[in-house]
Amino acid sequence: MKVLISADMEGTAGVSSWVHVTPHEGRSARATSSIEYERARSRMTREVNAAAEGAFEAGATGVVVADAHGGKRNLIPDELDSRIRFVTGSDNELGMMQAIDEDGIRAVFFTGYHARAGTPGGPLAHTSTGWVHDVRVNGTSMGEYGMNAIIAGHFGVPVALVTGDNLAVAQTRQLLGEGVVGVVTKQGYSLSSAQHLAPADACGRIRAGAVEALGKLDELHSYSLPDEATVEIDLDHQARADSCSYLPGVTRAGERTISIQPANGLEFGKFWRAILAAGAQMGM
Amino acid sequence: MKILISADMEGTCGVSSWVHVIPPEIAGSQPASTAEYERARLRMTREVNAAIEGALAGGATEIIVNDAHDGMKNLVPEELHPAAQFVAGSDKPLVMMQGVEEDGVNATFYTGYHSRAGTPDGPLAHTWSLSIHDVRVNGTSMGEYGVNAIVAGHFGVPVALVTGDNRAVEQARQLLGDQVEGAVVKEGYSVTSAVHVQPEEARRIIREAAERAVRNLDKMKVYRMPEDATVEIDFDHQIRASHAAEVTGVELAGWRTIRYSPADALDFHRYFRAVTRAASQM
Repeated sequence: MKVLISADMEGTAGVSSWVHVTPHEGRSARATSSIEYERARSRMTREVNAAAEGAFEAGATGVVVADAHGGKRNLIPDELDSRIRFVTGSDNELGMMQAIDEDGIRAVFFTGYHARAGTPGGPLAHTSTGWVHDVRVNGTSMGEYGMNAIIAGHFGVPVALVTGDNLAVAQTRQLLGEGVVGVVTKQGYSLSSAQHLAPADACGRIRAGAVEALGKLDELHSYSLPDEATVEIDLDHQARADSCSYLPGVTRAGERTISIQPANGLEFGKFWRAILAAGAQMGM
Repeated sequence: MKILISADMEGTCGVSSWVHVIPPEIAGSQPASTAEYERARLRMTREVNAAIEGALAGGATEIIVNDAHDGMKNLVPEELHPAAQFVAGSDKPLVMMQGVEEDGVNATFYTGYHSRAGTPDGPLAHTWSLSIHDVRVNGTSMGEYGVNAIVAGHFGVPVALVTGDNRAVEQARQLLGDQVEGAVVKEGYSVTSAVHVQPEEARRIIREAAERAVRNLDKMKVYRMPEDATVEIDFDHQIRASHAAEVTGVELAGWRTIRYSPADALDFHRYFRAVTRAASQM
């Protein structure tokens, strides 16, 4: 039994600002700090190790970690558990879920996850970018936790564990079911404020949560895109919707809303990457 | 027994972005990170050390390491295995292969190597610079693994080991033969994405492959450039090709392609350096 860990960063204990999660490489319009980012990625790496240790303790024979944040090269290779294989980098087919198509993967763990765009009190809440306001599948709003669960569902793999802030955990369990084990690393007060567990405590709970999650695996079901699903996406500006409407298969559903009808979870993921690329530019 | 290690960086475990391999002091306006580069060069150095440990375990007695990546001062000297001598710095005549001309070198190891320009799913795939699209010797495409094997071949030295991503190892063995030992530390998904084994595991794989390479040295074959070879190089833009064609002995072979016919392997390499240098400005 193998486990895929999709490792995001915003939900890591101690993280409450974009400064913590933005690489200091001289190309971000945001404020950046090498010291803050380096500390946060080290903490992110330790939380991933804790999840992996729990998985191995519960009988996993292999753990693959997909770095799922930003440019997807945040985990510190030399500090990772030596039993782990890890995915880094961008432009791959499955994004935050890269390697879910490998043989033998029976469960997905989400670590460092955050709430969906617009969530009141959700630390660093967003959905993929700052300019997506909502994603609805047949009217049900979801964040990255939902879209990634759909990719996993395409391969018949359930989500067993989610770790992150209280609202990320609540939203994920509300969508995917109470059978998903949740580990809360912090309670949000606002987009940029939270009360956190001490990092070592967070790691201990994540490890225990991972053990519990694999123990309950038989009760879990994968989450699939419904047949003939309609996905509506609200954007921040009408010009953004203009840019995205040029894509084949994308229709305009409102002033700031576009709509797609993906045939399956993989096609949903492919649409999503095209929309993120097209929407990054908008007319002035 | 004496081994030359040609140590490149892109094929190091954990490397998947140019940010990992560009020294910040020469990055100019490109994205760069001191923390990322420092981590990656330490990992590069440790992989070289793993190759040295394997070589020594297999019976090698002398090791020269040639830093073969951009700027050619990436290996961290204090962290290098004490049994090795090392070559650092740029403008050395044999570039990635400096040291192979020394007396008594029995074999070459490639560490941290990457696949040739244009390779689908080849992590940081390129050949020499990003402006070269292909290098062909008598019609056979090759990357740095081929260009450097020709230089080694001039001195009668075989390539015994290649470490790097899956595509680099496949391509090197396809050109040089399956007797070459390979150590795959990552598998590519795209130019900027790969799935890696953890660095400690990568070093174990490299150490074991290096030992096997030395023990199987009698099976290794020297790769020699054919006589009367014709070399063609495709560039990304016609202006580069026309600048390159200004070098004496080089002719245009197409809008973006130049051609030359070297007298021997050293001549091949000398022209290669001159042509890539001439084409570097647009």
